[in-house]
Amino acid sequence: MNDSTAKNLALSHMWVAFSAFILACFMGEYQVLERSGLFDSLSSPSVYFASVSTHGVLMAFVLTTFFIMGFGYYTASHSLKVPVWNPKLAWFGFGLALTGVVMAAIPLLTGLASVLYTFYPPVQAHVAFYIGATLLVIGSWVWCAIMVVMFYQWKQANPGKTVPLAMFATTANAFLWLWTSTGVALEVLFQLIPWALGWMDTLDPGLARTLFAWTLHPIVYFWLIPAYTAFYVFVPKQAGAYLFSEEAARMAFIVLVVFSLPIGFHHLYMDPEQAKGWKLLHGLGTFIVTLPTLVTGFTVIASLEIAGRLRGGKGLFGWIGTLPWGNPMVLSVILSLLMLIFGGFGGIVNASYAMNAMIHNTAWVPGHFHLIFAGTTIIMYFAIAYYLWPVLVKKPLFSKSLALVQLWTWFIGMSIMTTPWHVLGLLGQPRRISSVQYNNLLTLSWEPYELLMILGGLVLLGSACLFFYLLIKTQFSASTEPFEGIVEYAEPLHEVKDLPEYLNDFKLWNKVIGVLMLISFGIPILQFFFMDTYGSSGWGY
Amino acid sequence: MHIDPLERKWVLVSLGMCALFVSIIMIDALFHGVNAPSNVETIDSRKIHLSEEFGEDNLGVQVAENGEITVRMVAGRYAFFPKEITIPAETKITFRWVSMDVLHGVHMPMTNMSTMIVPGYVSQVESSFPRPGEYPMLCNEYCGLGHDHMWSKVSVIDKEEWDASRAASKTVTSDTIDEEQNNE
Amino acid sequence: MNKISEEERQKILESPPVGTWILMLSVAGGMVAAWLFLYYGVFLSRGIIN
Repeated sequence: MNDSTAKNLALSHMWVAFSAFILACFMGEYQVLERSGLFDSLSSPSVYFASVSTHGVLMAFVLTTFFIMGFGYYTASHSLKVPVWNPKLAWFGFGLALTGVVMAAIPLLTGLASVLYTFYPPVQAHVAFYIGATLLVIGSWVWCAIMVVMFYQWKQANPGKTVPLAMFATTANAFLWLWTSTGVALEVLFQLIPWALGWMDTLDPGLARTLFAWTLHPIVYFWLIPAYTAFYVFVPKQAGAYLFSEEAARMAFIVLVVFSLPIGFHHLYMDPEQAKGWKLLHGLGTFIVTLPTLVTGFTVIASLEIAGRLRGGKGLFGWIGTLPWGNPMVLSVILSLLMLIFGGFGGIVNASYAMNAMIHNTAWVPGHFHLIFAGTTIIMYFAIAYYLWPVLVKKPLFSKSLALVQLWTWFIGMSIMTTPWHVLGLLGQPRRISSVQYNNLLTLSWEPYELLMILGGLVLLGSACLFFYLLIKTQFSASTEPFEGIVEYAEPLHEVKDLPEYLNDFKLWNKVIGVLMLISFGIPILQFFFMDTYGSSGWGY
Repeated sequence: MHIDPLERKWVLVSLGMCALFVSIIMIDALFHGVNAPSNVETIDSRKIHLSEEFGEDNLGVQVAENGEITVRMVAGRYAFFPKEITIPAETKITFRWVSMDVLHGVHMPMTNMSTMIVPGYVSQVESSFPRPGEYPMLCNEYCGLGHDHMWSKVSVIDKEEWDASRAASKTVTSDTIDEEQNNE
Repeated sequence: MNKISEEERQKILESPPVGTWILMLSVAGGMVAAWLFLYYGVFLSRGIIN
């Protein structure tokens, strides 16, 4: 089968993703330097907030969405052994999303959209920012549609057969994104754009925050699922053994998708526009969604244990040492899981209802999401890139040892940067400030941590540059001999027999999601239309 | 469907761990008054200067007849008004917050006084401060280019000092009234 | 790397992942301890919230 379309789609999307990434990394280091207050010449709130807004959009929306789409197109085609459905539509979606990015980038880079990647009103950006963001989301919906079509076409052509796990996970993610993005789409289409265009004088910021909260939690699972996909379908094979339990993997993906959605109010615990009954309900749901991650940890580590024992590891923990630490995919999962323990714990603290007050909107929050997202998730994106690039460009990975150095330095830099960040939060430093000095003794305790964060950021920037360098060298080095890379999926330890249809399809789960969303968001959103609310007009910054 | 017995046990352990956290949270929420601030009340942020409750003369610390303390504050670019307040330690204090312009958030470091302030809504949170001291009140949500210097001061004084100064001012008032009556 | 016999290999594939079990229990134990410390030692000691 000629899979050049799938490969070209994958490469194009991933180059956009990683170009956005490297640009945003430089912005990140500028930000930690500016914020520390140690370099007067850098001090500038307007540049700082333009940088934070751009950095956030590039990392949270561009790097992620494009990587996920590229990885998805290749996985769908390769795992199902079919060509990508409707390539013209796929390229149209790519073009639309990229147009959106450029359209949003212009106001972002020129300081006309310094509203941060959460863009909470009534601080208002130039309308081109909101329209650009909309086009990016609509482009991603094209990807979702293609994934779902390919899933169901394969099922029709292969009745009674088990959908390959890699595509099951990818399609789960496509459905998740459709449900997730609806919240922010409603906010942008019915509130922000008409308001920014002047068609609406005012909007209700409470409703806007509620709609954004719909999206804000499940979007992190949209980002995380490709990392978990690699955990299950690539890692066990690369470690030299088998996936411990395919059924557990499928259940984990389903529970992740279903329960990541109706829980957004843990982002609104300190907000006045929602009552505590709803907050407690969403809090309960948030604890439920920790379970598939805890199970994923067990399944992946058990798969690694078998691999390590097959390689001669003895005793309770000897298998850890005998794993192939020199394989980038295996090293990545080990480092990713280490960061998941601490990042996941931080998430549990955030989810704990009233205890959220201890860290709400403090520096703990960006510390947490850099550890869990920039750490746990993105290191797996690197691993997937190192694994796929040789296959996509038909050349060997430029240097495996440099790849290992890059992964280690990413982990070390992330640990150095996020640990003080969490501590600063517990010491009460707010987030989203452009400088950390206040005329108060309590705040003096923050200073040593800022230096550590500058150092961590420098290590990360170096690591990011090395990653980008490795991709370029792999793709553009002159090739001396023909090279065929292959992508191999892990086999389950126990053959999957009589898999129940609910672990092979999404019709039931979409209905469950619909019901849960109605319960969790129905009244909390409808209430705004029955209360006497007062709108806010647009404010500059 | 085959699930390994140890993995099954792990699912139970995970459920147990989450159940522990959820129970502590629920019991404290339902029976011990440990809750996220959740008073849903709307207000017109464009007219707070004209409102009875949040007009300038009514802002700050107020003690009711029965000793209950309410603090009314307005958040606006770039400070919290009134900019300096004094409150007693180890006492329940009800804060009521409104915004005059955009989204703000406020917290006092090392305390549990934390809330979002959304234009169009009144945020109400009950807090207490075990340790006396000079605390900053910091804005923690992006509200514009001056967000990093949006703050105000809170003096938390010893409960004894607070009670003593309130008793003293009551005596002064009643002395004044006696004097006036004697002079008539 | 040692070459293992088919018999040893089968044994490994069929035995329960005890190392994983102990690791995960330790992680869970650590999280419970850390959460309780933060909840009672830091959060509640900072005052009322309602």
